[in-house]
Amino acid sequence: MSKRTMTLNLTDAEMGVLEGLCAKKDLSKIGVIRQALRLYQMVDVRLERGDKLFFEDDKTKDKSEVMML
Amino acid sequence: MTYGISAEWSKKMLAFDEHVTPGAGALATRPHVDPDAVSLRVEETRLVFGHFINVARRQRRLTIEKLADDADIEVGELLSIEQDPHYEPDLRTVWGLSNALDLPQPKLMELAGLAVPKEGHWLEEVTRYAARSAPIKDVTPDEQAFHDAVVAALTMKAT
Amino acid sequence: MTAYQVHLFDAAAGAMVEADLHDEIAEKQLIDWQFQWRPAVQAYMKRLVDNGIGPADTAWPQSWHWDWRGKMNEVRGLLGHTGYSVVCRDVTQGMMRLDLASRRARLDSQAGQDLVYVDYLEVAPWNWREPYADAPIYRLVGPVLMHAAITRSVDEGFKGRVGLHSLPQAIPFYERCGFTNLGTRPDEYEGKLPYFESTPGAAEAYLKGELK
Repeated sequence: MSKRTMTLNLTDAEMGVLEGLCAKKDLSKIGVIRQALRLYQMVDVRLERGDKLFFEDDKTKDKSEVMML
Repeated sequence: MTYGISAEWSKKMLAFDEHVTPGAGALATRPHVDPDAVSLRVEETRLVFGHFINVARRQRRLTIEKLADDADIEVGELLSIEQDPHYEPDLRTVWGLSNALDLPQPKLMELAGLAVPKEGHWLEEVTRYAARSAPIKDVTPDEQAFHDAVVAALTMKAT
Repeated sequence: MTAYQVHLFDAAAGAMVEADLHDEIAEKQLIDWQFQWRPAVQAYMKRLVDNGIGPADTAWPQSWHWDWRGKMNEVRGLLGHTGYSVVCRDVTQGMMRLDLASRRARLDSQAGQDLVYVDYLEVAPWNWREPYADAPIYRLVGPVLMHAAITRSVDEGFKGRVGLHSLPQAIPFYERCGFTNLGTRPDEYEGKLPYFESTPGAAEAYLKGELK
């Protein structure tokens, strides 16, 4: 698969979050960004289809809809 | 990492010869379907259904396009029904066909495998009838022309 | 599409035979499924019925209703899903759909980490090993697909972590692959399919051909 390169400029805060996720998820920076893009696309496609995205509290079963407009 | 696999690795894996079929994913249970109704009958009657729609259309001298139009369904759908015994038509389509061909809708549903027959004898009878009526006659001049055109297209060399 | 050379075992010839692993499930695979797999499944099920076997019996095939065309349509264009197929002598012998993004590991040692999840894995019906089926034509289709899933996991930086829900008949297969059986959960697949997961260590051993 052919690949293309781009430069990504992040603020210190953004870089901090990225590095934190890398450590937590045991992934490289590009690994985290790739996963983020896959998930973002999946959520976007499902919302476009009319699905809704919820977070559910495991104990109370309370649901809160995640709005992405 | 390479996705290629050496013959050596494969030979080692032969030792790994469990007598099971690998498989992963959702189960084949369909709780909303009565297990007794899950039978090969559906595939058989659907074959008859496709054959019947084909004959009914020709008997009324309708083109595929015309019947699809009358039934308000896609041409491709009608083609699939007539030619692919595995094609599962949806309810709306069968309803459209029953209207366009002026046939009782509940029984057409049963023939299309979309409803469980209340009483199955007539299905067995029409299945036997369909087997006997399978065409062995010569192709018509139109069919011959169609055949020749397809063969010509198939054998045409890419430029 | 890229094709990689792999080897299957041709049971009739009693010898290894070259095959291709494709990093996709293409139209050709769906056509093979539609016009070769499905009629073979029908013939097998007819044989079951003739032998008095019904849907409630354990010998009833568990993937008979799978619609691969529908499965691939569901995920068309999605970066988080991909498929692999094994082709030998121009016929599709097995295929699997992978989810690269939406599942997390469950084993304590790696809980919450990303993994490759095998959404669906199926081998062609003539390669089945079932009580009423003829002997399989090709062996090793399943192991080759699992090799691809684990390799993809390594490529993604997931260190060989792979998760899947095994069909009940296939449990011994994944156990021998070195996967850990985490059992069933009532909220998943009616509590009928146990969840299996590999660790980096188990994955490495598998890729080396070391079996449990």
